[in-house]
Amino acid sequence: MELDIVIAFFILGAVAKLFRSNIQFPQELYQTLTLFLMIAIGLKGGIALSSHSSADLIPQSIAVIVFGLALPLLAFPVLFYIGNLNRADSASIAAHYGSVSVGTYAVAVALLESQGIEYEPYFPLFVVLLEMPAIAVGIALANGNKGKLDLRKLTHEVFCNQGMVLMVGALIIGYWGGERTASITPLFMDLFHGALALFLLEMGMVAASRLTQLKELGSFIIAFGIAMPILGGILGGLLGVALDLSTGGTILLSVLGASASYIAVPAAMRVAVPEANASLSITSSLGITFPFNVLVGIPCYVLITQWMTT
Amino acid sequence: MNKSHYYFGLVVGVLIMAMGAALSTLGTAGWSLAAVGLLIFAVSILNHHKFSFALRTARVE
Repeated sequence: MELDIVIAFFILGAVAKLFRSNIQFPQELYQTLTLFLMIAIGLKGGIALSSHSSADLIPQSIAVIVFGLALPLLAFPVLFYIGNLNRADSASIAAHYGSVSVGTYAVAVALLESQGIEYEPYFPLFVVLLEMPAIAVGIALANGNKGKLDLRKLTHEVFCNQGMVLMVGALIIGYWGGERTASITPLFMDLFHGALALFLLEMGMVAASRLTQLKELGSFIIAFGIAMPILGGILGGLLGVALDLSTGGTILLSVLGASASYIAVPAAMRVAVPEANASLSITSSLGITFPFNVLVGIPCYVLITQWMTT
Repeated sequence: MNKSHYYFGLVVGVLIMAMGAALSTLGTAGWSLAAVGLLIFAVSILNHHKFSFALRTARVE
């Protein structure tokens, strides 16, 4: 399989950082690109939903939510009993791995489109559905913090974080607007791959800057940060096959199962489990799992899924 | 270094290497996965020995 052009930008960013290049990537541009990708993905899903909505979506959505609840429950015992991490850290990292990464999803979509592999166009709905359950499970697992929990603030973080608002909002606008969205599609659809390349350039630099922290984390977190996405990817692939999704859809569910959140969950965990080490979870999701998924994982999930579906 | 961390790294490394080798029959991405498995295996062993050495040195001192 050929290296996708957008992934080359991720490698460029990582190499530039490792060679201490003085590239200045404005934080505002990174924020803008994040918003752009979320709106583009939501909008695309909404437009697709307006012409493809079917009753099959209900059982599929329920299955996806159950999947989102199961992933942190699988990760937690490994972190708590084998990793010997404290309860707060185990619950927080489990929540990160149960949720999804929009960036990883966007890379997978770009890969499928470049290879002409068809997928269910309503997939952004599943991205949104997979964001929340892991946060709830993570908080339940942290348990000991019950008394200190500010439910109002937490609910606000879970439902009003930028990812949720923008993706759900764009999904609704796309669904409601249908073909009328044609006037804005040149920005959000035609420029998608270019914006993703810029986003990945910055992500490459961020991931490389986290490499120095890996030494402090030790071999357990490195092994976990790679084993967990593989397990999630295989389970996602099996669920895709069970739900009778297309090959592309099964690949995307596999990628969603494999990805770890680094935008929505850290914000929610900061409120719900403040004693958890945020650096530990963000370094493992951004410094280990994201690069692994982008460079090695996604092509492997494609192979596994193609093997499972043929 | 915790022994469970060491064994976890070894087992995960071996499993990923085996998986990568199996996937390599389907495409070249499998070799990358096998290399990642080897890396985890090596990091676990190096980490363990570094820690054991440090512990021995501390005891002697």
